[in-house]
Amino acid sequence: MDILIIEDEILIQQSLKKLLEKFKVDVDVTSNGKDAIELIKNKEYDRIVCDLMLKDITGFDIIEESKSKYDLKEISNKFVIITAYSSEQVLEKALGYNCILLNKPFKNIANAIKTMIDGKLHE
Amino acid sequence: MENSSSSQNKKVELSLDKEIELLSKSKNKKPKLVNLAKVEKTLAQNSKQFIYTKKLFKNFKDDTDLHSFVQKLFKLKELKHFSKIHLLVHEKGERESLNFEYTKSTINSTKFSVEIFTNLFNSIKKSKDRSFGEISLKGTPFDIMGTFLAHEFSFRFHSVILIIGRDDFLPQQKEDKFFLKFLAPILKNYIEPLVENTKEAEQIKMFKKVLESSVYNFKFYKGKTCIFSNINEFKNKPVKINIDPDSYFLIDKDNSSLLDQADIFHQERVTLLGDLFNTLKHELSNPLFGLQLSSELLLLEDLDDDQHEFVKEINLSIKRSQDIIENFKDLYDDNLEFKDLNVIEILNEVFTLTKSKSRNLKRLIHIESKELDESQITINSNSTWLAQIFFNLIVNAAEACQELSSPELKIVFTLENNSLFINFTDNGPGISEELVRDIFTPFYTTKDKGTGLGLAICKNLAKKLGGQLNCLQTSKGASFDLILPYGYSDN
Repeated sequence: MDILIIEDEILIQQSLKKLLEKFKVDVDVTSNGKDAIELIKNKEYDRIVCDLMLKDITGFDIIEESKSKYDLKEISNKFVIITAYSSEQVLEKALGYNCILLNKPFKNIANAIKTMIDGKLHE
Repeated sequence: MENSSSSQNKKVELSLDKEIELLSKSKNKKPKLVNLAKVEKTLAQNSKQFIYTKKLFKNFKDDTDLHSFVQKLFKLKELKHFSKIHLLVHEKGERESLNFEYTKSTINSTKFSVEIFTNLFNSIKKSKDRSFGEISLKGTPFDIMGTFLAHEFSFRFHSVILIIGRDDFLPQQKEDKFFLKFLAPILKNYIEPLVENTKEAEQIKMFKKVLESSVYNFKFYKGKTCIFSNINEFKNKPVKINIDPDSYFLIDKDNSSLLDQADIFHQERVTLLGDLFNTLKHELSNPLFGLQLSSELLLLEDLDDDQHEFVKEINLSIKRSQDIIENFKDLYDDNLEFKDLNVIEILNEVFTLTKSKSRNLKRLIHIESKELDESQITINSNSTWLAQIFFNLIVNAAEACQELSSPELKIVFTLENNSLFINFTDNGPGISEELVRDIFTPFYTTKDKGTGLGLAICKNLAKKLGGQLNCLQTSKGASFDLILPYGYSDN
């Protein structure tokens, strides 16, 4: 299983990578949107865990770029959005893509990791 | 008071003088008159003058500005032939005096030395009928042609000379002199407060000039209000400055109540803290989450017991930091909502926030009434305001007790007549009797770096919460009663 983590807070990025690797997942990581778009175009991922606020672009821009490769259903299954600022507008937009959205800090870290692996929300 | 009069009309003027005196003092002393015809004549004049005086009072009643007040004098029919009025104002103790020079359409102000003022004042006071020729003004900077009438006034803080001139060389008429004598005691009541107001306005103008030409770069925001306090010139009364969106800035004497200013301060502070907090929250929550994740990860590693304990402590510290950020969000919520909240919980949150100051302060929380639960006292209130009041009372207590070896703050909850009494009593040096009176006055402070607004704001906030904050008279330690309406909404 391959998962891409797009997150610019290095400690979060590396911790998630290590936690996922404990579940025998192959993990790629990147801190910026531009590299993320390249990786998505050139490699097949089962899940893409994407932070919304990156230094260059937003997570939504990455999703828009991915539309050239994936259809809407694939996008809603592949992407898991993680964000610290869940305003009404952000929630609405995420719902528009029908993606799972996780608020940082995670209420339950184990459940969050499970969600990243199976693509289902665990409360 | 003048006793002599011009030789020609001595008797008549004497009696009329007394009538005027009588009128201005409004006392019912019977004038000593022998001639019955004269009595009748005087009484007739009296009633006429009485009506006229009333008219004058009405005319001047609403004036708050010295300059428009003086302009009104020109409109009196008795003074319509006069073209110039000088008002010389000397504030007692000052080296310079002010000369306000009015024509029917202009106002000019200049300064001159106190010696000239004093000489003029004394010579007017000594003069018989207060009518002067041009010659009397020799050596003074006043530009009045011909003869003029003058009257001097002595007030608590100021001496004032009123000069009325016609700018011609004709001698003043008897009627004119008489009118001024009649008018002077009436004017006296109006000039004193107006002069004091004007003096203050002039000082504010000066202050504005100083600010404008200051080498310091003041950053004023258009449409905002700045308040300058502790300025000696204004007897420590705060000066509010409104920054006009169109011009650079305007300064006005503040007429609003001091509590309103405390409100503005509070509102601005809450907004500012709210903004600051949001930024902090955003900037801190991500790295804290990174720390949380990585410490959780470390706990999954093969660690020996010591290492495990250590990482667990790190993890707990991170969680506490995250909690503080969450609590802050509730405290500086800028909504004005009232909701059901647990007073004990808010008190504990504030203690966490004030930890740097209240660390050594021993907390003695006591629940006096049996109806109250020591872990859950629910009231319908506003958490921000309540936390602000707790914050001030705790910090004040901590600061007052910091020299003590075992400082303590006793907090007692009592339920009485559907009001929740929360008494805060520390074991510090306490508050003296005189201080108790002033302690809620805005800008009143005993601290070197205090703003004097803390308790003023708290008292106001307590009022907004439907309660009150009182300072109690005690033999030792400071004691405050916060009284809040008890009860919560049904839903």
